[in-house]
Amino acid sequence: MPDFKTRFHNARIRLLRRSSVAPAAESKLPKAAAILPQLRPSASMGKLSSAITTRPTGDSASDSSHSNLDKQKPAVSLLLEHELRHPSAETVVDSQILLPPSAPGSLSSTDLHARHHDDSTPVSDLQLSSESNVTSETREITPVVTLQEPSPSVPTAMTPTHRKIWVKRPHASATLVQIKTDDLVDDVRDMILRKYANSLGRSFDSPDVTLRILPREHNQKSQDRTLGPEEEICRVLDATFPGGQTVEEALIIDVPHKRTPKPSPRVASHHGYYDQETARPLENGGEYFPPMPPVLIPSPAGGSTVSHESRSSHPERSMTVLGTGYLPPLPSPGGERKRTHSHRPKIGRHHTSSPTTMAANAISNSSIRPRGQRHDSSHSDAMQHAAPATAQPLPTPPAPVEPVKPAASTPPIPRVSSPRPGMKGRKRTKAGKDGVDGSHSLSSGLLDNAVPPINVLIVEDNMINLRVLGAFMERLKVRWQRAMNGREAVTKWRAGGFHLVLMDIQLPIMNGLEATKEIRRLERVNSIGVFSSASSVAPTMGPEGERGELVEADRLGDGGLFKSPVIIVALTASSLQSDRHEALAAGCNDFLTKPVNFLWLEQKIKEWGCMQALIDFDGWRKWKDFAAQSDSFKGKGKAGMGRDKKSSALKKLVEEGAESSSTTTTTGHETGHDKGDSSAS
Amino acid sequence: MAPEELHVEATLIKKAGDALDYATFEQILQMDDDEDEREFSREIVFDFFQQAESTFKNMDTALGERDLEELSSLGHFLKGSSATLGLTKVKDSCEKIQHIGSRKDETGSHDELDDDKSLEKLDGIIKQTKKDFEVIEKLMREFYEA
Repeated sequence: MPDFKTRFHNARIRLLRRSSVAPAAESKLPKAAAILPQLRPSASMGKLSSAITTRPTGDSASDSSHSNLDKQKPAVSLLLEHELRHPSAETVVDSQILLPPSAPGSLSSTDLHARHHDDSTPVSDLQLSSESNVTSETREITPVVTLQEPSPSVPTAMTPTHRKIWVKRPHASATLVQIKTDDLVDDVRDMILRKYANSLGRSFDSPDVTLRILPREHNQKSQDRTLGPEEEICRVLDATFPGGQTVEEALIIDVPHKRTPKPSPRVASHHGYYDQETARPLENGGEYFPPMPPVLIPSPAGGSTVSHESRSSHPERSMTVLGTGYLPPLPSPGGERKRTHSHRPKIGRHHTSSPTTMAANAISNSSIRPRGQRHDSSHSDAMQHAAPATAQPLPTPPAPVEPVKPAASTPPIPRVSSPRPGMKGRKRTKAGKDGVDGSHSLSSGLLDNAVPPINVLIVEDNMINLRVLGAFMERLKVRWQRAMNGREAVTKWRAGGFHLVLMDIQLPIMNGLEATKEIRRLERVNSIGVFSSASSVAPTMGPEGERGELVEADRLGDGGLFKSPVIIVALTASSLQSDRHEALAAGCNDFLTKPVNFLWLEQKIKEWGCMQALIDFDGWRKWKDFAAQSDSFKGKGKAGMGRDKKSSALKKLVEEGAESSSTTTTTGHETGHDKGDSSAS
Repeated sequence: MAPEELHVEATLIKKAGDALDYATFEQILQMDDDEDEREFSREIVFDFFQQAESTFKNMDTALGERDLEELSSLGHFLKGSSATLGLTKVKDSCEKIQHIGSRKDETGSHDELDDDKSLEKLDGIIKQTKKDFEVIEKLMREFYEA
């Protein structure tokens, strides 16, 4: 008996290891481990083991049960009859019927093939192929075993009565599923997957499915309950619904959120790797739907599962994770521009009834769907290419603290939902225009105010774009300056204090790529972003050994203003891949495609800001203090003031605050003036 | 939110169709402090009209001078701002102008060595761009005057 248990266990482990069903693989192991002990005491398992121990050849239960089966013709007919009532034994029975009992060897191997397509699988695997099947499988075996040696406990298992229960998916219509009276919830899951062969069965395994039961009395405290896999379904149903379950009381089937991402080009491109795997039918496909052709899901084997999976669903997060350690809620769009046309939700807009509702629909549609789907900020490739670019050495620890002006004058508001600029925000703007909360609500829809205090240089030759981007920066309460060409960009950058440069590529006088290269060159010769020790040890870091020959003209001013290499983001309206590569090669960290998706830009600014906050922790802390201070100022702000007036008044207050607590506020003031100038123009 | 305003937006969306990427344009609209005045976006849009008109003029001049480089640069210039406003059709045409001006085909993927051919193509595309622009300009003016 211990021997059997060990084999049982080993076989299971082996199977689970081999199992390469991508989505389930990670979750399966722990679950299986948890379920296994629960199964042991269950009725059918208990019967099986008792049946086995009474047998003389108890060393391998499954082997012997099969050899016995082969010899015994009556077993087949009994199994057949049994199968009609309980279809989960299909494979076993089919092969047994088709093959003459005189060929025991081929019988068991065919049986195996049907399930595993793997000759090396020991027979004991057959019954243990998946934890979800264990109970039903063992039940199939039980009658076979007991044919030879009837035991008093078996007849009840042999003739389980059937009943049907109602199940439904959330907000869908209910359907009946046939179960046996002694089935566990776990068995029911199998049956459900069979019933929902297309919608669920193709992408979910039965352990993924959870069942919820809704008690009859719909008061608050008796909320719906999730059924454990080990519960006996009939007992639960009878207890919960005395007198029988009605359609309305159907169990609710829950599955995890879509785990198989829609096939994307990226996934498709991986098919090459998967071919070997996919050519072999998936084991699960064979188990749940034996007669059906297996569902081919590209599933990398074993350990690579997780990484592939995450890569295919979130192809471009590498930098994000590196940079900030958290994943942005926004799935970053890919770089295909063409799709913008076909994806715009126009149909929804046109065919609704009245003008008012139509408009309402239109707004909500247009504000929600295209944002998710738009592909303008096509940074997916950029992110992957940018990762190495950003992996520059971290800068020296901050020595003179850069004067940081409080950029935000409103307190951080915990973000409730998405920061998408929506109608709500605008409505509130209007409503709260005269109230104290005017500027507050203005930003809360689009921004939460946790945008760190970064200083942005926008390099754009097109006034329209410059003003739009500038206005957006104002709304983010981010300091910014402008440059109209590459030369000016370099000059302004040399003044120091910038964290982020949004660089248009095609510019007059000096184009964005040249400007980027120049900035990177200057950073290199000034050892910005190189640990001071490293710079003395390794004096020839630049390709031309420029380090040693720092020309006076190239010397940058106050080192405190250049704590780290500036982040340069190329802005391009080009959809050409080559342009992007060129931008990255020139030293840009990233690129944005015009039209810039503001939501994306905001998130990026936050990420970059957070990076800078890490680099310049003292500065960031100061900023936090200012932000807190400005809150108290804000409280004193006069009600009834127009938003612009008020915010400028706030700015003033904040600047005063900065002046009082910081020794140097020149940067802040300059920026403030500059900002005023540019917004006035 | 006044119902007529919703109506105005819906009308714009409906009439503009492919010519306007409303999601992008909406980003601009959302920067307006006051939805009735629409001060910010109005200014941006009307400045864009001026910018476009003068760019078209420059394009005509460059076309007369057979200055492909200048045409490419002008195409790029207008492409940037039209993209920012979500004026899809204008933007796409400008991109073509940019590509052809840089002696490529429309998509920018193949070289086009015959300048005469390029200029001929440009002539047609610039005309088309102007038409696209006029359509969206009219709609935008209606939108802001409503």
